[in-house]
Amino acid sequence: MIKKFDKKDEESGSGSNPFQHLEKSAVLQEARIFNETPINPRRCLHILTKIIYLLNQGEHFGTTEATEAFFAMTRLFQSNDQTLRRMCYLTIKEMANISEDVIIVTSSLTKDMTGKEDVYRGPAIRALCRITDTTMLQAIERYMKQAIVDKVPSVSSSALVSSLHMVKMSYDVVKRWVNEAQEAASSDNIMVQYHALGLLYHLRKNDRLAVTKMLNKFTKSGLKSPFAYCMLIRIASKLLDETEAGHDSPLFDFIESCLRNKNEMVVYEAASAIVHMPNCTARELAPAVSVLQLFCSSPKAALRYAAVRTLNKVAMKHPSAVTACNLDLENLITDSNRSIATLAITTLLKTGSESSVDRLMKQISSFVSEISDEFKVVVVQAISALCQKYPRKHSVMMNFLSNMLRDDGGFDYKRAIVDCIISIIEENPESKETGLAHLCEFIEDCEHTVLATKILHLLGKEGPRTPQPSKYIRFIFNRVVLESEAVRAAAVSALAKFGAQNDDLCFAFLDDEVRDRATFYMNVLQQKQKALNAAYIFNGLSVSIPGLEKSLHQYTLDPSEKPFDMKSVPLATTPITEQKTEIAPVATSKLPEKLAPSRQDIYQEQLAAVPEFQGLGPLFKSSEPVQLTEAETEYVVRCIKHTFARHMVFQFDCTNTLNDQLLQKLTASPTVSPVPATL
Amino acid sequence: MNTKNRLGTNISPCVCPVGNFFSGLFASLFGTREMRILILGLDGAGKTTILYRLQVGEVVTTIPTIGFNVETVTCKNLKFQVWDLGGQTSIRPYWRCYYSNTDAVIYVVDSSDRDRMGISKSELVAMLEEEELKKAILVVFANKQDMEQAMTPTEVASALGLPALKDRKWQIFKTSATKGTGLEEAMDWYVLQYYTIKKKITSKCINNKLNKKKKTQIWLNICCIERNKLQKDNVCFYLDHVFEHVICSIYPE
Repeated sequence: MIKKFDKKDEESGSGSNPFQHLEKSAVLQEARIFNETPINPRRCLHILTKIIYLLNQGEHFGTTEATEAFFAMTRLFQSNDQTLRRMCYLTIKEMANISEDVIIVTSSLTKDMTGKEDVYRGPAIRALCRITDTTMLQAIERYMKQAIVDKVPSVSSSALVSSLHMVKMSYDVVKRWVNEAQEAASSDNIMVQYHALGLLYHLRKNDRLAVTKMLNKFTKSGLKSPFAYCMLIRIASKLLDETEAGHDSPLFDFIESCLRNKNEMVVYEAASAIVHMPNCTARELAPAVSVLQLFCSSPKAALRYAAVRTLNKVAMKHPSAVTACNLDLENLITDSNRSIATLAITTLLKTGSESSVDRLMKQISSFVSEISDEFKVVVVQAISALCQKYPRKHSVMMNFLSNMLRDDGGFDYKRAIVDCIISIIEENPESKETGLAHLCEFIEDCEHTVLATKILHLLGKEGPRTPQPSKYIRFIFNRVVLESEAVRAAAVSALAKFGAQNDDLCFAFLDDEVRDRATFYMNVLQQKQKALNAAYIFNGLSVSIPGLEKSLHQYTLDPSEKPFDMKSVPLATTPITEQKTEIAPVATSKLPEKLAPSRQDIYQEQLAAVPEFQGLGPLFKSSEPVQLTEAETEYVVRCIKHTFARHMVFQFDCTNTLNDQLLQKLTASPTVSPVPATL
Repeated sequence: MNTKNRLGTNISPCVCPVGNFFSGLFASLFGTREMRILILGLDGAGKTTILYRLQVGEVVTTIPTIGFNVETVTCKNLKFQVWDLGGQTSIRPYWRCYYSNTDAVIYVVDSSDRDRMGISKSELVAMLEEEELKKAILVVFANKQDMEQAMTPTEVASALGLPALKDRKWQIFKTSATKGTGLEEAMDWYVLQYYTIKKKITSKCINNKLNKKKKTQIWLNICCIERNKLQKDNVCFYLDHVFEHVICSIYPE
């Protein structure tokens, strides 16, 4: 069958999925051949494969159709084709919860699990346990008990694992099988022993005393299976953690003794358990760390990876212990496996001395572009930690971070870098200027609104207090011109802060518009009292910012004798909580809404753009849009009434809802109905 | 089940050469197709014991069947696919899922269970009304004849209302699955019925399609082949029927 698929793939030349365009109804139709005699195992096998494929693709099967297909499938039990029978087991397991009356195969599965054919027995047990509920379980209890102690490992393992699944459902029944599980735990087969231990533990895990007794028994008698040993170590460390027993406990001795086990997996598990324990003394840590150190030079990549990853995790908690491995970690820096190399370097960054930082940073930058984003974030976090430890190294770090910032990367990665730079700036005044410069450069081409607004906020806060605030203004102004509303708004408020902070800003080198804007702020500053200004600009404006910007613009372009009138600026319809956005500029998904110009501002802008309306003066009020047509017509017309001091403007918005037609030559012919004027 | 289905699965006359047609015919007559038999009856009637008695010839320990057991039984040189469906009240509704393509139903009755004879009857009646079983032969086993208080086959037959059945080929046998008595006779009878039906179908098919000379040739061929094949078997009696038929069809007078 598989060969056939391969051939098809080659023919189509693209390695396409032969099941790609399956239709559920067509497959269920095909499944009717299950009812035919004699059975064609090959065809039935193929159809079962399709059904299982559909189920695994998340295709929804209704109860009726699933039940029908299931009962048709049960007819395949007449065939003695081994592959087909095993496919039936898989189908039963997949359909156990979507078809009704699945217990119909109970007898057949019971027969297979007790039969002579060993290849049937394990899978039959697994399938049987999926279709069995608590009441039926008692009927097959005898067979389950026999299967657990069966001498065929696959049968015993299947029974143990299925029992484990059923503990959740029928704890009281499965509990009666403890003796059989005990017997299986002394099996020679490593998997059977492991599964038996798993079942025994899950039956007793709520009884701490029983778990302790079990651990004592197995730690004394010893086990054959390394998997079982790993499990014992985990159980023991969990118990140690829960009981907060001292490290003189026999459990700790057991874990420590596992460090001398023959099997690497067990040794690693023990070492990992020890280094993760809270309040370990250096003396207790030493043997575990030395084992991990040994693994660092193992020829097996998996062991090296496991060791260096564990060391990386505990490097901050036990730096001195991990320092002992520095030499081995140095060797791993050039490991051909980049994941290992990254972890080695970041571990060294956490534990290393100040002098080695430069060298490590250089090393890491040589391959940082080759590793995945998650590991890059690990690197950034390591750098962040390092900066707190060695503040003097900030220039190296900053340089490195800015390089990373320029590279491609996802949002999480970029955010980690930005956060890292910001934290450096906050902790280290010397780094402020370079940091801000890097961030300014970053926002010049930043696709993440969250990061842009965050940086603009930072610039607004920090920029005015730098020796040369003027150099940031260009970057901020670019944002005002080029970006989306959220960023523009953030940029304007950042600019306002610059204005409020420095009365004597020199704008000579900036272009006209910026000067206008600056003039506006200067005007505001001159006209109002200073305290009030500060309140306006820092603590939130009661006017909408784009509106303010617009008015200012108009005023400065067309200077009049009158002083700038704040009242000409339309009031914000919804009070914009500038304060809030300043506090949490990261909550960005909502940001565009909050800072979007009010409806009235938009209208004012739109109306001002029509030459005929320019002499009407400031807009007094606009009505809510009134729908003139039904919602589902070919074109939708709504009307908005704009009231000016002496004029009234009706705006008709006509929207074409048809994709294939174009509305042309629209005329509005208002008919004034003779309404009796009652003024 | 109609003629076309029986033959149609094996041959397609418009494209196959005559040789293939013959082999298809033989296959349908003596062929490898397994016959489908259902064993039904109330719980505890002994269905599973009968199934394994037929299959392996011994008594096996059984537990109440939840669902079904299906086995291939070889008997009289024929292969049967025998489905033993559980008889508990909760499982009886599922019987109908397995009715299609059934050649025969073995209905097992516990002859000593006088109390539930009525239930047994109503289940039987309901079953026989099913469209999918219209053509199936009914064989009733008055089982557990080794029990002291067992009803006789005649009593059982009347309790089940068998004599009133119309359009149905049926027969009742007294059996004891644990002792192994009666099963042999029942199967012999069934095989005979089976061949009779087959013969009818086959002859109809041949008569419709071929001229007299060809027919003679075919029947003689069949007889030769089958006599060689079945010489030692006790189904030889079937061949007498075949001969009889051959003679009749060749020399109608």
